[in-house]
Amino acid sequence: MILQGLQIVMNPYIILLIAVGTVIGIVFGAIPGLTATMAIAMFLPVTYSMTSSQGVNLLVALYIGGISGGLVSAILLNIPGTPSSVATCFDGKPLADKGQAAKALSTGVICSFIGTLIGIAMLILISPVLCDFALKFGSFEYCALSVFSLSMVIALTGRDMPKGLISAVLGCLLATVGLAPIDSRPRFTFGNFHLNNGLQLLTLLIGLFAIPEFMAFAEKVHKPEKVVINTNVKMRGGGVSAKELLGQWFNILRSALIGIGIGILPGIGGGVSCVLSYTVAKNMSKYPEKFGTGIIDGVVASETANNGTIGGAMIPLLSLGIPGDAATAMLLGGLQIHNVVPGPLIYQNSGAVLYGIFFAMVLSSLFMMLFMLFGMKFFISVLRIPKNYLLPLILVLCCIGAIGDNNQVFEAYSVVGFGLMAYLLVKAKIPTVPMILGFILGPMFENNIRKSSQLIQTDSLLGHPIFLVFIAVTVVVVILSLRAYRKEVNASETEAASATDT
Amino acid sequence: MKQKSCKIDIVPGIVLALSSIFYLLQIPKINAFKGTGATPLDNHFVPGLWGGVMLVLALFLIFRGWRNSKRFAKPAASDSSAVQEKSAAPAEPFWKKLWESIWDRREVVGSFILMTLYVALMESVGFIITTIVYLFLQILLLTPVEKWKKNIVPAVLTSAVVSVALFEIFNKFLNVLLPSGIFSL
Repeated sequence: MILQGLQIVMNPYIILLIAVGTVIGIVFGAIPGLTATMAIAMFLPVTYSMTSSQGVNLLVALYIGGISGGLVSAILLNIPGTPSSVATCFDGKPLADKGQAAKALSTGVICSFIGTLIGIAMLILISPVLCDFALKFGSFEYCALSVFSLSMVIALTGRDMPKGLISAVLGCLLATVGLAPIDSRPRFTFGNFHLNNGLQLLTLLIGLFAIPEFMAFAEKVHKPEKVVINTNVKMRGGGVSAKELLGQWFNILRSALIGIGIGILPGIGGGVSCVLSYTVAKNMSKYPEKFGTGIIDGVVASETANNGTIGGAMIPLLSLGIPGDAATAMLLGGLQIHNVVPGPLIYQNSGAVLYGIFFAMVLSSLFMMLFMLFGMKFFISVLRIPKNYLLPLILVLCCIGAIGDNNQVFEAYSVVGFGLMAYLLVKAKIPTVPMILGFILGPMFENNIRKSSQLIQTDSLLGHPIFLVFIAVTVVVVILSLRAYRKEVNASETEAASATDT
Repeated sequence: MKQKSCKIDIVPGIVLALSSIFYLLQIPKINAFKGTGATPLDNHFVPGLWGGVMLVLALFLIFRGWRNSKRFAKPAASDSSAVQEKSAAPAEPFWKKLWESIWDRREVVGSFILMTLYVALMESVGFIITTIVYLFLQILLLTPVEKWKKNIVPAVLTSAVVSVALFEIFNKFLNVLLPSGIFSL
């Protein structure tokens, strides 16, 4: 199967698709307001007529390019191209201001490459083990796994836990529309036959992630920000020496592992991993005071971690069908369209395609490094593309993608409806990523809790140690998150009270 | 500022509470399966669970917003003169404030209206025409008014070329059936 996977990728057409996907991904990553998730959404309709290997590898290349491209605008404009590059701004921009933009860019590119490779290596090592482990799962275990994953989401959705929970439950509610699992009785369809199949993951993803970005730009039309782009960057020679990079080996390894660890956890992604690894690098540094003034340590930590997240997020996606972040959720939609069903049986059912994905990821990260090192001028110039032309075009492509999913215009209505909902949620400061996980995990939970309710009369829960472990860990996670939330509330109340006193 | 943060708890809380009540009221209408193979937990159980959790969370959000609004409504001694000054000024009517808020987001409201019309008319009028009109209007809507004059010709050209190209590419090469509308006659 490994050789078959290699054969798939060594096809010139697929190599071309990976190269093109990587370049387009980098462009999407580089332009602030466009993300890897949007790139995958936009290119889904293009993959409909492709074979599963062609389509999936193109999407994977878009994902890798999309996460990596964010460093361009983070370093040159101080605006992260993607949320994954937030921490790259902290030291990248000061480095650029010192006249060392080339050094910051090449450090970021090389570290992105290394981070991706370490992530892929961990994916290849962990994913089969996790699949073997997950093969032992029955309905009790899947039920506990879905509850555990949801508890992780609420624990990690940021400062406002109730709003994270609301988002996850909203996703679960939306997933109940359509025919009920097991007995196939229609629920919440209001007599509309389009709703019998339920709401589609793809339309929800497009609505949730493409439209709010579009509207964020629309909000700024009559108050545009002046941005100066530094195009005078010479990448030849890179400005960073091998010695400098070798001196960062521990930072690179640590950041990659942080990125992978964060990637594996559901509900969070590169945005958190880059900030976390930057903070760890700063706290463990011998010269923490220099962080933020323009040193490569910060760029190394951020860019290695966010690309390490790629491999990490792919582990639960491929082995359990649980995406780690918004982009992998979009990738899940893409895999489903191409009949590649993520889960413990993926190695048996789609082994060749899967190994093809691994090789494609390596090839894409190599392309990413080469294109960005030697074609940086082009990626800098794309920052000038007028978004008032680009965004409507992306929206039309997203609508085509939604229509093509079922060949029904109804799906485009769903996109607009979900888009409006997402915009209002963003305004209410309710995060949208937990909703996707609720939408994916809700049916898993329902299906398995109902099957378990049948089995419980004959099968004791004590005979399911994995179930018991998951439940115990869930209880611990919930208690710890509640304590952390309580502490945070108390701290903010004290802060507010002291502000009122003064 | 704090008053505003209370509002973003209370308003969504009320909307979510009403939505979850509506959702919970729909559950008895679901036809439960009682034949052989029925599960002890029927198809009402999980919707009831999620609906109930959502209602509790929405009520918590309203309570949190209400509690915070009461706390921040108490003016500090140093602020009392400012508050007196404010209360002396005539309060702006609600409708005026709402209109100002909508006008401030006119591009967002316009974009949602355009998108809805685009999707609604696509099937009957056809992909090409609706996309040309939508793209043209949307590009102009996302362009500051003072730059419209310079952008009209490029917007027309982009809309026309892109719409026809997308229709041809997706219909002919990528097997995505887009509505032909009036061109199918």
